[in-house]
Amino acid sequence: MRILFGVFVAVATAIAVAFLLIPIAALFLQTSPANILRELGSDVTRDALLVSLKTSFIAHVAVVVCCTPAAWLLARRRFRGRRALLALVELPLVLPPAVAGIALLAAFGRAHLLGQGFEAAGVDLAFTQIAVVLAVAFVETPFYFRGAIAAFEAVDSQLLDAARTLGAGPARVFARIGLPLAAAGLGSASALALARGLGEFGATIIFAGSLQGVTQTLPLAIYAQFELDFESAVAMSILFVAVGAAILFTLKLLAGWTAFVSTSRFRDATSPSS
Amino acid sequence: MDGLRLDITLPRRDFAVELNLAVAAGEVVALVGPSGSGKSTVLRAVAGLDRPSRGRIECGDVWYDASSGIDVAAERRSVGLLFQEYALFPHLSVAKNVAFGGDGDGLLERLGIAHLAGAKTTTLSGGERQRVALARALARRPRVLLLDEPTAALDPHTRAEVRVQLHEILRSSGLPTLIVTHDFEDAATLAARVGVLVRGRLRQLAPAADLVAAPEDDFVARLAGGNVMPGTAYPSNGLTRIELDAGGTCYSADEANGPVSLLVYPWDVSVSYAAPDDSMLNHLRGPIQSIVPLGNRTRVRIRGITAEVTAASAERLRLESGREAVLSFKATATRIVGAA
Repeated sequence: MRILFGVFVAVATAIAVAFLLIPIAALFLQTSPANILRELGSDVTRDALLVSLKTSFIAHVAVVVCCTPAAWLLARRRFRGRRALLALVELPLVLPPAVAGIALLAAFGRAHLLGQGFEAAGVDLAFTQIAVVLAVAFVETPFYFRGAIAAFEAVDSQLLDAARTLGAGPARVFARIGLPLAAAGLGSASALALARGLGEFGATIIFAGSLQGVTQTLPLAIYAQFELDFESAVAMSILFVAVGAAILFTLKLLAGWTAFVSTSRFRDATSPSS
Repeated sequence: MDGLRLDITLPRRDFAVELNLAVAAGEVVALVGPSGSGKSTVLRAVAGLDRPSRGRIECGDVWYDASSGIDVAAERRSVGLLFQEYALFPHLSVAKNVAFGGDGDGLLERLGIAHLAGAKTTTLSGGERQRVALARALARRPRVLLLDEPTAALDPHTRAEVRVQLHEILRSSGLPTLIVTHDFEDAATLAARVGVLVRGRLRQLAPAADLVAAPEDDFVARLAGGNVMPGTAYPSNGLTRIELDAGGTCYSADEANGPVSLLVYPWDVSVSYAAPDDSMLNHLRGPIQSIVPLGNRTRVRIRGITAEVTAASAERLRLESGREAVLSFKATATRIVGAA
């Protein structure tokens, strides 16, 4: 029984890993390094990469800046309607991206809910780069929010109480105790959300369209190229794999590094042996 | 220096803590009680972390007054709260922990932890953690010290040593100090007065020696470390005869009639293999249930009653678990207490 189970676990693991790796490996086998390099030089790729990086970066900063304090509030305070709010935060997770796009259009599109106000002010959001930022932020928010709430909930509340009795007001408790102790969790939530934002497709194409150099992000460009030239789509996909992997690894490393540094810094500074 | 005065009601799940207590400047008062008796919540209320439903807390200034709506935020109350598990910040060094609440200069030296200033708190021993937590609480320049189970997280060896240090520091601080603990020895060593808290109510408040000598009831007696044996009392030739519920007969010099509890402290009980032929009236025979050495003393348990003998006499008697032995104690060494 014991051996049988061991074999079962090993086989299941092998299947899961292979299932994930085979398509990615296939990408690299579809094309040559020379082709990839040539594709990187094309205007479409360069524009798409720039749009992707710019919009993802802005959206991500906005999400982190807004959702970090909000997650702190939801994790640490008990108030009426908290559970409902937590469920609401996760709703976009179960929405198809197309629905998210339609919803954004209904809210911010010309002649719609908030769009009328913007239009009166001479601003039309739909099919602009701001629309891409909104779409990316909308789909990545729940990923970061959930992770950040979990990270803050894991902080021992006795440490926060201790900080208060030592004279720290709410802002200092958050900055000096809450944030550093949740740093690792916040970092990995951030990485996950950023990756999700970079891959955003459905909501963007509906709400922002696919205009090269303006709203055409890398996933949208891949889709456009896929109909014209499969090999070029493959090369761009490889680029995407590289960019995504680089971001993920950097953030993971950063999260681990912050947790490490914050607990070992002082010891290095004044250890008796030094 | 001002004293701490509190008169509060704190609702808990199945009872309310109701406490009226004054701790003078420089005085140490301990609240002792079983876990779940509402001890810790009293400290949290004084610190401003839990809110009473009624009453008043003052220490120089009024910190809480339900009737006038005063409720000073925890960070503005200047309390030094020592948490049971010490609650040291794991991402900060010892020095940064101590400096978090105020200027810790000199405190590290005073508490003998200056050499640990740069250390990570996660690498410290229990005793060291306790001193860091204490230094951090004192660096806050508090107006009151609150200690939650100060030695519970320590191993027995460190515990005795820490008690002595703690006693010294509390005495020299001149602050009103409130300690909560389930350990009567902690309370007896550290506090001038000990209050027994049962389900949120103060059962008895007196110096530890008085609690031992004249416990209000069997609960207090047990908490003070006594053997409590329920039985029925009958007057008998100027003494009182008690037929124990668990079997056996004892005599007490206290007067009583009817259902009672007989109290005798372990240090008044001796152990032998044959009933000694001396002035001791009470002998209870039974197999030895357990033998626990505690430094220079040994605790022997027979029929659920604990006797404390010197390690030397335990050695001389060659005590063995399971062997039949006799517990002996004087009628004058017993107390008759009422049931709680």
